[in-house]
Amino acid sequence: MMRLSVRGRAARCAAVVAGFFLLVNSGWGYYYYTYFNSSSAPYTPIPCRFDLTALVNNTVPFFISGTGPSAFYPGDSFPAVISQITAAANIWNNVSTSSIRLAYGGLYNPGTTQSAPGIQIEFSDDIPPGLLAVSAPETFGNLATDSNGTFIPITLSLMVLPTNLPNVFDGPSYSEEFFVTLVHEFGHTMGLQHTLASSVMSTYNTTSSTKASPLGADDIAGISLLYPAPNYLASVGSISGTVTLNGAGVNLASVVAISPSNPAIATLTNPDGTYQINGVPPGLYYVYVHPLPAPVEGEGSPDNIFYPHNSSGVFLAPNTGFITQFYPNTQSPSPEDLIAVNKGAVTQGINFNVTPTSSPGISSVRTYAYNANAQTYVVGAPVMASATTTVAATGEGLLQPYTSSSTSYSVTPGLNVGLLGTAAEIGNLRTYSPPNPYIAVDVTVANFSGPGPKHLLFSTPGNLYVLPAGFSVVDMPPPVISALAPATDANGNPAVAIAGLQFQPNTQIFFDGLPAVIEQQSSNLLIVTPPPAPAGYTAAVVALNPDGQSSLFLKPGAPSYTYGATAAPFALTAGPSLVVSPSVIPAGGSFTVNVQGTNTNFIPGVTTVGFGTSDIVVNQVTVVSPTQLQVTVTPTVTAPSSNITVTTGLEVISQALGSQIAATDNPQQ
Amino acid sequence: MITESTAIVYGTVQPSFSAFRGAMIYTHYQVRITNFYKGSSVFGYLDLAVPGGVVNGVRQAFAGSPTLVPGQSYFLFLWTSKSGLTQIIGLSQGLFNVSTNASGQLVVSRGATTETMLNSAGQVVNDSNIKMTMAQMVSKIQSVLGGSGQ
Repeated sequence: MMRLSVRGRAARCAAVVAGFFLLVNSGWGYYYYTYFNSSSAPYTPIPCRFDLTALVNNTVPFFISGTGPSAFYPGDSFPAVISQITAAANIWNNVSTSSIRLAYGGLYNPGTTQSAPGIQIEFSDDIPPGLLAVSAPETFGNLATDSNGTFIPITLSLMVLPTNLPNVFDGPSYSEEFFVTLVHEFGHTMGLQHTLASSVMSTYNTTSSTKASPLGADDIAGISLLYPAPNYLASVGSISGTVTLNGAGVNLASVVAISPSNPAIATLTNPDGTYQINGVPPGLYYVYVHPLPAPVEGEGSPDNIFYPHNSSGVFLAPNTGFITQFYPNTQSPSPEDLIAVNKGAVTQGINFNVTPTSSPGISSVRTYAYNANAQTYVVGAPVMASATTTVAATGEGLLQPYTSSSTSYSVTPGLNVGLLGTAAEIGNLRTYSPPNPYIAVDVTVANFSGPGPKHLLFSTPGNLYVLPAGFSVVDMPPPVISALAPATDANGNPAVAIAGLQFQPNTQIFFDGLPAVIEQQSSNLLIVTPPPAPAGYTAAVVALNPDGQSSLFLKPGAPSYTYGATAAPFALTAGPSLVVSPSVIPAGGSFTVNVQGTNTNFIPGVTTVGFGTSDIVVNQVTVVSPTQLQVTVTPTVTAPSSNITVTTGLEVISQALGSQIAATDNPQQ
Repeated sequence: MITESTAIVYGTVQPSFSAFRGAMIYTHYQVRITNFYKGSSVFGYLDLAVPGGVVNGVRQAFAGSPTLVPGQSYFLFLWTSKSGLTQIIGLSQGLFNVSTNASGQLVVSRGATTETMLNSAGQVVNDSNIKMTMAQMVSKIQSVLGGSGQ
């Protein structure tokens, strides 16, 4: 069934800037939460970000409210939600060109205050209709400087999720929507704002992200420029220039570097129209500029951007009244318009003189591909090579306004849908019947176009809209899981057999949010060792393919697997409990906590321990035996109200220090 | 939006204050009610919370949160959470400016989207660049609510 969610995401950034200093930032990027140290040109953007020097191992701990959600989809559970949150954090941890890392620090009691930087994830019923979640980095007015420039340190980030999950999300915690939302919100907590490159930090209305491939090149550049790994900046190049309208600089114009063979990377202009796109891999790129789109439901500003403000505290609103155009001032880019980007160098002088318009034009377009076999539309718009696929699109300006007297939809006069440089045919532009406000086209991709994202051009007379990653070329349909059953691997160890279709060499299998170990593989059968979970735990099983497709594409309801009572080693003993000594951790210096378990199965390298606050740093977890842990911690302040959370796979045991044990494994609420 | 709202009002915004609610800051506006079109209040006003604000030097700013102008009148689609916090539907989607046209009629407007959309239930939401007289808006609300006014 075709779905359209118009629910948006919002983000917030808190900052009080007490003073500014004129320093240069190497991490020039404009979809961060940005402040300027002046009220006139030249503008030096100052982003807010975590101070890595204040973190242990560049790692920001995140903590999840122990209250959990109040309502789940049938079969869903709090441990499953926790596992998905952790998996979403790991998406960012896997960016090799970024130095920042996220680590699960256990459950916390709402109201817990902490002095060290961290991220708190809470569940609230105060999120108004129209929003999926809200997140924000929070800062005070102090500035800091490191080798990457001046910044405003994030002291705490909040991620607020709805407490009633079925009321807001289209599916359980394993769903595409919930997972991509989590990845998006983590981006906000680290300092990323919305972008317009169809990546995970795009607004929900334009993202092409999927659970199997959530990050785009723009996301990777954004986080890597904010927290660059060694040698990253020398490995990429930049494009710079100015966007003017009638001779004046255009504020918050989106400038995008894009090529048929590369995903898009974007930035926003400064108040004087200057811009610099950093983090661009070497290669040839088209460059285009477009206005921020008008807000849609759930958004309060163009692209839901938190505007930058200057040294006078004035928020600097965008100029959105101009027409999209490619460099050099054309709407019909040709190969000779490609710009060369070299590593460690800035390609300068890519300037635009844009044309004003009062028409809102086309914006906020999202696409879906029709899978004829399953008779369903899927996100990410996967299109098979050498085949014809229907791609549906929804967005602003594609259709004529629909009124109460309308009986059908009509395409905006003069609308044309084309491609940026890809060998493909697009035709049969049409609409659907009410109440489905979509257009559709048939896309036939040449066999030699290569896999990956392709970019769509939507044009009307005198105007243009570019949708990066409008569809993605794939070599085979999505993976399908048809059956699961207990099995043994080649060594006779207990395992799970997963039968299905379209499994690829790098297919990943997830039990809720945790990966299984694939022991044997063919295109239609996998033998896997599941992650540990308590006996009786029921996990949703999802296959993710490296081409961005998942088994949820065709069957949004994932098959489940219930851990048996005798399927050791991955089925854990039910009814675990803990005795922690001492129950109060003194402040100062390294300290060892002994955790004695009953009915526990602690596993070296798998069992983790957290105390629900960034003020207790876990240095080492030693598994003495399946029932005993020794945890070395460094408390910065006395935290008598903290919890201890011991997590082994999908088993979560949490208790308040010094109180009775509360096991929370698999409540199946 | 009409059915999702717990209150629909025309009123004038009074000066605001900001306060923490848990870990989050909200800016509170007192809305003096000229007319209720859905919901009610025995006090003649209601407390409207908008995410973000400044408390004791700590500033939080939600992207997309609107800034309301004290003394100005708005047509508002509001939603009250279970815990009693009243906010604008969809951050800004439920916020309409009110002006007077050449004929002296009150006009509600929100410049923004131009496309018909579906809500989360798959129902059509007419979100097209809304501008109509307040009488037309009230008529539409009453039509959806079955003329009950509630």
